[in-house]
Amino acid sequence: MSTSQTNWFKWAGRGLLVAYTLFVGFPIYWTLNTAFKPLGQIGTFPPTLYPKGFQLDAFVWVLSNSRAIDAILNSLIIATGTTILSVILGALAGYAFSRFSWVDPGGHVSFWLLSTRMFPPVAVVLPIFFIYGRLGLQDTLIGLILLYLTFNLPLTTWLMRDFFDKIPTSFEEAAFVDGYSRFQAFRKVIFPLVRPGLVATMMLAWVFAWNEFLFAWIITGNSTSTYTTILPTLIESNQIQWNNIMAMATVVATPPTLILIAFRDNIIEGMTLGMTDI
Amino acid sequence: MSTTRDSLQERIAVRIPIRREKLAPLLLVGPALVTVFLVTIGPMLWSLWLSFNRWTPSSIAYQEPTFNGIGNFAWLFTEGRFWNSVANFAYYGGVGVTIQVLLGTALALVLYNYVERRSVRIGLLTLFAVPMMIAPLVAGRIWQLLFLPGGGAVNGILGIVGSGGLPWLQSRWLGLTSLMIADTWQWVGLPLLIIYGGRASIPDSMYEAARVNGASRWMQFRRITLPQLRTLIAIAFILRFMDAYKFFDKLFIMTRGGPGTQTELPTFYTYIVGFSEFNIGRAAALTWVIGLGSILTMLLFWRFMDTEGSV
Amino acid sequence: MAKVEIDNLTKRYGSIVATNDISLDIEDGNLTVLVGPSGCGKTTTLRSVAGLETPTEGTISFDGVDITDRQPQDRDISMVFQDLALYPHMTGWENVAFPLRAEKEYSEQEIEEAVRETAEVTDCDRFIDKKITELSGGQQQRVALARALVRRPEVFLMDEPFSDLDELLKRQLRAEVVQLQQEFGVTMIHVTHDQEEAMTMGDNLVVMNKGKVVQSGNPDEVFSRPRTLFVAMFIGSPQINRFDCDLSWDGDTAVLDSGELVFELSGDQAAPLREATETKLAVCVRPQRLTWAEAEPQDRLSVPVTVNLAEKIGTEDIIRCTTPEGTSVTAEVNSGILSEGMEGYLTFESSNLHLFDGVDENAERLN
Repeated sequence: MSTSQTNWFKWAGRGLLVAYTLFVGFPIYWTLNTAFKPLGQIGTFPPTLYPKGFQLDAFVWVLSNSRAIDAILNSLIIATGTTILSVILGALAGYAFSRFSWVDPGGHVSFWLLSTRMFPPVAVVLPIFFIYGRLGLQDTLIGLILLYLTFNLPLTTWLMRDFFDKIPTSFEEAAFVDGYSRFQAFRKVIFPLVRPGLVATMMLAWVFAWNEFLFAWIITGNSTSTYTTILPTLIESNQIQWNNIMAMATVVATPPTLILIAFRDNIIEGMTLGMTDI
Repeated sequence: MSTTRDSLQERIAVRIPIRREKLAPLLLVGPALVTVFLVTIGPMLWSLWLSFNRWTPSSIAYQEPTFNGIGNFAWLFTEGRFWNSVANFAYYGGVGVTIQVLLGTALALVLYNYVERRSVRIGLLTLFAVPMMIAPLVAGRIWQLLFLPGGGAVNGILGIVGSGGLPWLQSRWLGLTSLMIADTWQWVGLPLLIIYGGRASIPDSMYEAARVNGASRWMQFRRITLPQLRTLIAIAFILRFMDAYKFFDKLFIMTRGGPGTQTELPTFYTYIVGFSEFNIGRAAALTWVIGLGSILTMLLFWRFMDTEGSV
Repeated sequence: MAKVEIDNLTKRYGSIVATNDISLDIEDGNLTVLVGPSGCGKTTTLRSVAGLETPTEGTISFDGVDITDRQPQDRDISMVFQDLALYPHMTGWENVAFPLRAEKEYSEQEIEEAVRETAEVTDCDRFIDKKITELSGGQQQRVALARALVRRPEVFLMDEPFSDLDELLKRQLRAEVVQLQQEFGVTMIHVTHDQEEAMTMGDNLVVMNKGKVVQSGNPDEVFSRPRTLFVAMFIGSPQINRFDCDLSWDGDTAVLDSGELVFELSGDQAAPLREATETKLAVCVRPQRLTWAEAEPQDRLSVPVTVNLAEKIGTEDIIRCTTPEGTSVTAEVNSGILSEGMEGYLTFESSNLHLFDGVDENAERLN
């Protein structure tokens, strides 16, 4: 085994990494590039690599456009609302699955809970469209908050169960022996220890809800549009205003990116934990 | 007589705390299960029933759903447009997911083995995770911009390199390929993270023992790394393939199934049938066929993985 | 300080029977050790006393009060778990104070005093203010002990807490626990799979196997008069020597023939053998009761052996030998007299023999 061979491998590998880093970074750079350009500079050949006429007009447009602002606010309310709900329900259920194994005999219950993720979202939204119509839930914030539980609740339950599994049952038992009820033991011992996992779960659930498109597209109307539903129709005139669109893209992509950076350790642990533990 | 009654009472006294013990966990799990049933399983069961009915609730002539047996399924299996979408899916799913998993695995191993500084590794992992946090629809918009025929960056770079621009979003196979590229950009991070985590959890002592015994780098890879990662690679593959069945947002905004219906995928076609043509019975049948196909694929992979493992 | 009575305790998990009709009495202020191999039911029994397992049948009482239905919270017990269950997000001090805060019946000052006092007694006051994650294994053990002692409970339960420690620390902590138990007069039930731990710690030994109590008594009793072959082989280090022999009678003399070795017993020694129901018996003798002789003695029983290995353990040596036909025999003799390759005889009094009715582990003692 020659060292030159391993060296070649090393540099080829590093080359691949560099190429991929460029591949990942380029669209991000291009988005920002476009967002700061005046409309005339977009779509030129050869393409302008930096915004020559740097301007903030696109961002101003986004932040002053009432339709855009309303949509972003709706997204915020829906994402936060469904996250709180799914995390509370999911943590309770996850705790039960972790501590009381008989609630999930043979793993069947959790399988069915998870199997709903096998179906494409349109499978759920198709009947829901009519059910919501009849119940008067279409175009309501609460309707979408509840609907998002379809994909968020199995996720939060699954993740929280894994996080609870990491805390030994002897911790609660020691508290019982010392005179604490199960609820008190949960509050004083389990909750502080599971809090990082809880935060990671919340962040993931929030991001998934924030990014959702199809459910919102079908269920919402004029009063409850989310930012994803106005993105396809964001055309002011015949010419697609890419700078505005990219400015909006930057604005709406910022919260999830900030969340990732702030909670990267927890989220990375959660993404591999939740996924690899099937 | 009295002793048997006493022991019976003893036994009853013991059983009651057991029953009380069972109430709490049911209360904990109940709300979640009820919610899932109301919001997901219930509606899907109704759509299952609808798939056996003919129902086209257009505003002009409203009809109640009428039972037509397997009529919708028969239509589905003879509908050319559906099979068109399936062919597209075979290409998109098969080629696309394979590329994502292979690329993710290669990158994970390179990152783990050839990047020395931990802070750089974490930084890169975070960067590689950023595309996954962006809304698929937004990612689709960004790549739509990049793939613009005239002034798009992709054709621009191709122009600088010397080749002519390509009609990325205006043809069938190029369109599917551009969707694949956009999806790869967004999701390679997932197999990458999974494999990276797997590689990080292989104890160094295994490699040290192999080195002491004179094994080459390649042997170490073949005999230690690969077998340990085999399961995770399969899991990454299954996960991405299941997601491929659900692929929608980018397709909606980048090609809208076009040109015409050439780049349609089964899920998008279902959306058209349901919310454009308003043929609910057929759309329901489509969702169930797709969903069952997805479950079947997963079970097949699972079986394949098990036999692989035991051999 | 309470007497614990366990009556007909049975615990079933589906078709698995963890404890099978166990009845035990543990006197007030007594240190009882439950010992046995994995799966014998000792931990299930302990957890049933704690209230962490609900019995399928049977009752448990403290001082005559039936507490079988009571939750662990309502039993005045303390427990040290196998993984110690110390809370990592708290300091040692907060862990020890934790039991006192359950009912909000103590003032901060009382808690402070109680924690300090208990920490001194368990010798952890120097590092008790540190976070649990900063403490070594031995230090954590002491904090766990302090937490269990701080409330001065009626019954004190220990679930194999020393199994992961090194020898020196184990011996140290065992001695300290025994000392504390005697000082405070707590009723203690200690579970272990280590028979040496059981022998050194207990006032009372309860040997368990497969869900049943096989023998209960003080360490000397269990050591010198094991009730079944299982107890004889489980208790005692090095393990007891065992020869499976066929029984036959030559008039009034009992002949025990293992194929290679023949032991003859007569008179009072042979009398118990008349009760034997089996024809193949297990004949055992403790390594500690064997003496070395160069020539075959006439007045004692003996086994011809060659020395394979002499393990030095201090004032004694453990001699591992084999007979001409390859049967292993182990003896414990004074240090220095034997070395490898020596040939001779290991001799013993016939009164040192343990005779069992049969060769499976349930074989009962005959003599």
